[in-house]
Amino acid sequence: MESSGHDLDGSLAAVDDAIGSLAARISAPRWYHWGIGALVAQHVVVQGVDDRIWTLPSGALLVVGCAILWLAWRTHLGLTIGAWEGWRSALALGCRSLLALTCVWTAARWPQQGLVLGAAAVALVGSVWLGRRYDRAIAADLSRARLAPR
Amino acid sequence: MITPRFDSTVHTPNLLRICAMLSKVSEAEFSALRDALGVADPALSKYLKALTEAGYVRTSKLPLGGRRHTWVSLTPQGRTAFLGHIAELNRLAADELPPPRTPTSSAATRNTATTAEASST
Repeated sequence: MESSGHDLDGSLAAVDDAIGSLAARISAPRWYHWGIGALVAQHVVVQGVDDRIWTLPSGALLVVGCAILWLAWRTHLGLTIGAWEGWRSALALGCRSLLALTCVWTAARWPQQGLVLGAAAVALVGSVWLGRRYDRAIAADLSRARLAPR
Repeated sequence: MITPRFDSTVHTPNLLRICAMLSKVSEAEFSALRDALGVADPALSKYLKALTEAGYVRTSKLPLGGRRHTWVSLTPQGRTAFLGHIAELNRLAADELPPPRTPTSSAATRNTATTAEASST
């Protein structure tokens, strides 16, 4: 096979451009992160209610709601992102999950009204903020994972 | 372990770009690929047909909201072919680079030049 240096550089640059254009597409719509945040916040509030009968329906709403939002996000984006793309996105996703668990635990452990509402607010705002960080992290991870040497 | 191997199917520019995009995601929707490539629907269909016939991609059609969405993913065979092709391109590109200058090789060049100069006089 014969190939000029120009062809090789062009092919490798095309690969990098394609991955770059893919990374540029990754951005969740505003409703997605607010939706996830609202689902987590309602579960946090339910943990602060004495009557435990609502825990299971609230948990089911959280799981089913997140699944529906994820499917809507996937259709909106036109891409299915793998579970592991790099440590930055994994860290953002891990922090988001940890924040949700901490808020739920706080509300269940100390069910005072003020604390529960505060934890729900932190869960909502934190989910949105970390969700946007995740979007940027996944785009950065994809951009950095280019295949051609630089 | 990826074995560098030139693949003429993957080497076609737009097919290479499609494989590059699919290698980074689990699945991509037809319209997302079309927009990212900036090509028309029939052209993308033709590219995907070529890749499907080579066994490098698989497509699945999912009905949603009254429309059928086509999702495309790279097969294990396609991933191996693509990564092998990229490894081969990188290998060829590295071979075409001039050898790195080391102090030893510079000294050797200087010595050779001096010898040649002396012999010419």
